[in-house]
Amino acid sequence: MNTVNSDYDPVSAALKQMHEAVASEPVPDDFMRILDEIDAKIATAKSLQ
Amino acid sequence: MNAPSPQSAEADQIFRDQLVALIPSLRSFARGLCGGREMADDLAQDAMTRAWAARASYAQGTNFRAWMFMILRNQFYTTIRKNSRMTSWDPEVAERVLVEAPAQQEGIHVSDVAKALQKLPAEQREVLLLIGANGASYEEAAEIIGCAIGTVKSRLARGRKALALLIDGPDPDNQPRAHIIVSERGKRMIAAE
Repeated sequence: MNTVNSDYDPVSAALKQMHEAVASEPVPDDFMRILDEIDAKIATAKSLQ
Repeated sequence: MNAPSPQSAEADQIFRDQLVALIPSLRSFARGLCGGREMADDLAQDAMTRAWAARASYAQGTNFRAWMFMILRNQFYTTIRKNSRMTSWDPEVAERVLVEAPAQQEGIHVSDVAKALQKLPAEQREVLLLIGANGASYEEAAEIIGCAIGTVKSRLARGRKALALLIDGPDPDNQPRAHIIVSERGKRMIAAE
């Protein structure tokens, strides 16, 4: 348990913890599929250069 | 995703790598805006697809995060105009955040902050998410939202006050009373800044 001191902002701390909870999740496969499509386009572009 | 690119493959690769690095923040910002996980991830993916299609309009070396958040935010407002369900709270997130928080004694859990956040007007919520959660500066938030820095500051102040009122209820002395319990991890994140 942490007590709130004068230079501690509990709202910011709570918001940052919410952010960190989502940001630390594994990236779902749907995102990887988008990146795979992008990678394929980049590979095609490189082959044409 | 099918728009022809006038850029080089190398520039596309740099763009792609920046996009990958930003996925966690995009998902977090979208989750805070939408509340629900599935809708938020759909929003983040839509933003990524749109950003890729519009990559020629991004100037390398400028603030990529601001550019991406702007796309995601614009898509969010476009979507909520069509779908009023996007303000629902995701109980799965609440449960996990509660696990990370310490045992409740006196005060309020992070999950209560998250629930209260979804009750705020979107214009206040987005400022709290950008500055409070993602660490954006006033200037960056103003660039993303497309408003003056003074507007960002006033929305932030109103949002924080409304959040405290939603969490604690009205204060008889008219002062916000935020007694929020945050885990050691959350405190370390603050201290590290």
